[in-house]
Amino acid sequence: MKKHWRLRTTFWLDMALLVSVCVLQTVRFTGLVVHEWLGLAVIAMVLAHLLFSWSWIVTQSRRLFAKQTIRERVNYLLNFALFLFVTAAIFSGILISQKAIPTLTGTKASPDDMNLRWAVLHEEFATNVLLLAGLHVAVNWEWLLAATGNIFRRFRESAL
Amino acid sequence: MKLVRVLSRLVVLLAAAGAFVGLTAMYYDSSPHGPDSRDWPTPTDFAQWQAEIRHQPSAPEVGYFSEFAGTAIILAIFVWMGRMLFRLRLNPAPRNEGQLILLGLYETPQENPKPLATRATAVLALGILVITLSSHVATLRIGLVIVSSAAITLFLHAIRRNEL
Repeated sequence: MKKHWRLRTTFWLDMALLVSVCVLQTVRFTGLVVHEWLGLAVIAMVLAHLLFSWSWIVTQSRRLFAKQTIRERVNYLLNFALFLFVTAAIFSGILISQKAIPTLTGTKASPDDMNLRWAVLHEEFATNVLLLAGLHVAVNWEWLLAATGNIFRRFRESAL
Repeated sequence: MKLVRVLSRLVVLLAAAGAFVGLTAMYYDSSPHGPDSRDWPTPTDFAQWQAEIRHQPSAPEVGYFSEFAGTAIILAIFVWMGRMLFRLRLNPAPRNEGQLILLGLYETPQENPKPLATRATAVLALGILVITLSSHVATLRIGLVIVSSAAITLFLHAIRRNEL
């Protein structure tokens, strides 16, 4: 029961993260307010995602210099790069924030004060996050299929 | 006890994130961006982009749902490309290692695995197609060049293994 709760939480958290990555790419669709608050919410989601994957992180970090398959190495480097780019995208987003951060800090921000160099970098980091997120899903595809099957099978069983 | 464990892990994650923030700041200091950069073909383009980014809408606009759908499709393409790449045997075992010599007396029809060359060709073609379609986005192009380079490597590997 506890294991299933964990699987269900991880699955829906990952789904929320995946949708958020897509939604955050389209500021005109969400508007700046939703974009910025969702970007801040992603911090909590990413931290929770990493905490749920803690055993994998520890195991793979310990085995980093040991003999590994190319697939394992690629996967580790991919996840490392994804964390790096997500951090960079969030950090640059905070620096150019017009709505959320000024609300939290009680300051006033004008669009004309925005640092455009950070804005350019924010777009670049976000594009890289999209690419790496796609590859991250591809590497974990089998887990995703198994988890989807498991969750919807239990959902059908409980509905009967 | 469990809370302490979770908090200590959080501290480790935040420390790693802090180090990445430092790297980002260093990258910011070292990279030229703006009208002088290669990313901006003309000052007019830069001014147009500047005006657009400085006056983004605050409220959601449902009319731009197609942008969200487009992003989801691009993500799906990346997943598909990744699937094709990662399903390839990146480190195949030597052909004769651990294999029995079969005389073929009781041979049953077997399904032939798809040759490495066929899949590498498909990935290569797909990579080139997506690069062509998204050539206006500089960073996307860099990422896709990396993916395509991997595909080319596999393609050459397949040639070396006489699969072509």
